[in-house]
Amino acid sequence: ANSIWKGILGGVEGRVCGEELTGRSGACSRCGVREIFDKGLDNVRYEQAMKDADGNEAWFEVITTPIKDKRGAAVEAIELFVPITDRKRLEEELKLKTEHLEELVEERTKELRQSEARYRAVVEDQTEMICRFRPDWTLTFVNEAYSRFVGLKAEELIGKSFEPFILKEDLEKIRGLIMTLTPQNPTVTYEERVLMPDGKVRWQEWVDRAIFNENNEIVEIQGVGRDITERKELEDRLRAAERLAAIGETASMVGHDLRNPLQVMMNTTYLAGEYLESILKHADPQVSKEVKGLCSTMQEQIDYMNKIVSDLQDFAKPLTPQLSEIDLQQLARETVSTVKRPENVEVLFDIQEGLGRVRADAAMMKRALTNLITNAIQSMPNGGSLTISVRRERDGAVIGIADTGVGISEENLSRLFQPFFTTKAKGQGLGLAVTKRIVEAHGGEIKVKSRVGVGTLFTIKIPIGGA
Amino acid sequence: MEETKRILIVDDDKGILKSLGAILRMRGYKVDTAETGKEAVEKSKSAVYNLAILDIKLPDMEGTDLLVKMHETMPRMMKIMLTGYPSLENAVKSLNLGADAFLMKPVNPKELLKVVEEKLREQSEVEMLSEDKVKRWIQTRMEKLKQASDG
Repeated sequence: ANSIWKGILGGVEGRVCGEELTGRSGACSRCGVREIFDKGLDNVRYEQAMKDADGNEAWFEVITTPIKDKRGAAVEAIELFVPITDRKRLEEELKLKTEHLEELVEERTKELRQSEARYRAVVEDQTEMICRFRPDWTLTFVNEAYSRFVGLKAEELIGKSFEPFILKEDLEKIRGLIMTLTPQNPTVTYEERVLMPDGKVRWQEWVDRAIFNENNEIVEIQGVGRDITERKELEDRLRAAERLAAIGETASMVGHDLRNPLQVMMNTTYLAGEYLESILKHADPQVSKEVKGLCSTMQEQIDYMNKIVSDLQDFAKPLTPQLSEIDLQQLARETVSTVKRPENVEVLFDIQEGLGRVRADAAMMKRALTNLITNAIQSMPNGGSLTISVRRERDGAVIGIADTGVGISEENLSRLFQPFFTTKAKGQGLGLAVTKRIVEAHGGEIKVKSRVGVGTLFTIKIPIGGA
Repeated sequence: MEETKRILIVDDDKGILKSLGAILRMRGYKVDTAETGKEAVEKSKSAVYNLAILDIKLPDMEGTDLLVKMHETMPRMMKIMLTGYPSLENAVKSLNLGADAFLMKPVNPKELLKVVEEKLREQSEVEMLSEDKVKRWIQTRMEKLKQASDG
């Protein structure tokens, strides 16, 4: 042991290791000297911790080297104790730091993975469609919702253009809009119509965001879209309803304003008729007859105009049925008898007796039936048969008006009850609309079945009792 | 001989006043017209009418208000409402306010003449009845006076 030894570990200078180390904690867990003599090794190195003079841990690198005789046999060994406590501490610290760093990296990776999974879930589980595409409209990414909407797998979509899905009429508009995107103004919102595999057209709303490179050129565009067909349809219906309301209001106004001129026309026609009466006493009977005919034609036309005005006003005002107990069978028979009917149209009744009374507005129901019967008769210009049926169903009375007339095309069936829809040269298209309103005001429903060339059946169902 | 009946037509439409006036005159009635409620009130102060035909909408007042005014000043005059606004409420309101009939424009002149004649007949019946009563009352009074003077 030398003076450095003494400085670190204490002890006595000049003693050999055996003397110095015996009894020291941690010492001689290995013995380099023994290993050299026993195993004939040339060099033994190991690190060894010991307690220093103050009882702190001290690390040494122990290097044992043999001293050999001429034959090469070890006769002595020198043990070098290199103090490495500081190095060890640094190493230790480094190890800790490294471990911590690894932990940190692992943690961050985990977080990243989670956030990616979350992002994926958001993108994939969206009911909104998400896609990315190049400026030439080739898709580079689509989410689940997008695939689901167009009915194709992501693999089938990526690398292809989405142009074929969009209705031709909308293509130019969208192309133009995407062209306008700039780094200052990178998003655009638009509506487009999409052609579905079943041939139906649906509405979508897209928000496109362009992604630019350093030269401000569009690299990709990300689109988020959703189906707005229902909203569009609602808007359309609302618009139609608003339009109808406006027409109704105008109609009511015009109707009222026409009443005075109509009254004047009626008055003057009457006056003219009265004056002519006295003049024509001395005229040619043929001429007299002609002139009277003209007067009555005028009167008829005024009456017809009056009916149009009344219908328009009826349509514009809310319907509130004055309910009373009425006999539907009787009402049906009565109504048929009041409608003018050519001889080549026969009327058949199929009336279930003992139906009892129904609560309804007699005048309104009569009008509803008159409209249907008149239409039925007009649909049989070459004659045919008109069948009026009245029967009871579980919760209502059902009146059927069937004809063997020209029938209604499928296209017209859907618009049949719309006000101002008509196929007649002379008619406002209010008859069926009013009929429907009357039936609905009674809490009932009206249905129609028709085949072109075969005939048409209208059924009105009015609830019995209950309310 | 029966006196000529006087009719007042109130409507803001000159065409109606002219044509309806002509029809009524042709039937032998004496006709006056007014275009506003105010004019109608003025005219009814200076003349007695047997019957009035009133529009429900006038430029200066509601026809129903005019109806009330005329009913107060001339309860015996027959009042026919003629309107382009057909509604149950209008009809009920008018009848409650003293209208004797409620007709919708356009009304067939034959129909209108029938109503006019009917209302005038009702009126003369009432008048005759009251005239009759007055006559009888005077008669009985005179008889009583006679008896008293005789006695």
